[in-house]
Amino acid sequence: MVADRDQLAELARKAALGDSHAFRQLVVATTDLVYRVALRTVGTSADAEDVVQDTFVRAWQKLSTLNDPAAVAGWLCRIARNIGTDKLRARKNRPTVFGDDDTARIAVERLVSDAPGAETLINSTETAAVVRAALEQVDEKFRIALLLKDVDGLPAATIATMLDIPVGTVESRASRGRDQLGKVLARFVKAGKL
Amino acid sequence: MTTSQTPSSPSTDALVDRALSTVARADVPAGLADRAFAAAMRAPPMSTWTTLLGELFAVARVGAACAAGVATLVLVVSTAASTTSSTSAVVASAGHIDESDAWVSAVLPLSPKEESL
Repeated sequence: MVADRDQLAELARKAALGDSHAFRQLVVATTDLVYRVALRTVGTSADAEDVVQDTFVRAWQKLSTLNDPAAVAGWLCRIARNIGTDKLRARKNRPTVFGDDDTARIAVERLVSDAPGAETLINSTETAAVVRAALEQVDEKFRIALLLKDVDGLPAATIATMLDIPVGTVESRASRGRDQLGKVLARFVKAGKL
Repeated sequence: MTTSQTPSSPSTDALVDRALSTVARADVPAGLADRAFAAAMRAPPMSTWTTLLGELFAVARVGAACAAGVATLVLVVSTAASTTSSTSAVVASAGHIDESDAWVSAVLPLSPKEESL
């Protein structure tokens, strides 16, 4: 459920004063948006769930510092992005791209060594892992805009609210995200010596 | 990674579209809002801590102000006493003490020599 801007502002104002009932309504109304941003930031649903929980914990603690209650949706999404980015950074510090995900690691090894064709690559069982690897190499701000727009199919205006940016910027970021993803995928294919 | 925005080739566009088509839409897990709310309620509201800290700082400020006030008072009394003592000596040596002035004798202690007189 996503309430309108005025309703969210009212809930944020009450929650900032310690009204836990209003905060619950705020959580229910914005979990959808926050989860989407979290998922498009960290890439996996398990991590995204953690991000959502951490986001609302932090929000409950800091709602009184929110200057513009009408902008609470963007504020929550920004918290989620910050937490997600930290989580992603920590994940990237691991020795392998995919951490303990053996399926994904095997997929990349096969991509490089067995030289599957582009068609095979995209249709292979490991596709999701390969695409995720490619997406992780796209700039975060471009990737999020691209996925929210082209995968989740959200209107640019909604994404603009979520990311606290102008609608035009949503379009340009999504476009640049496509451009970067295309180059990364092409590099993957080239690495397979097609 | 920063790249300039350039027109993609049709094959690259197709590759991107197909890649994106493999990415699952974000479906919010059931009960996530409830879990998130419960997690938030387990954490202490920052406003409580802020209030507590604010009160502690306020008490500390009042304490510091009181201490400064007391120190100032002590300094003023001490300075005044010192000045009074000096004035007594100067006035006494100049022989201008009017012994009939009761308050002078009460306030300004006379030296042993003056007492013998």
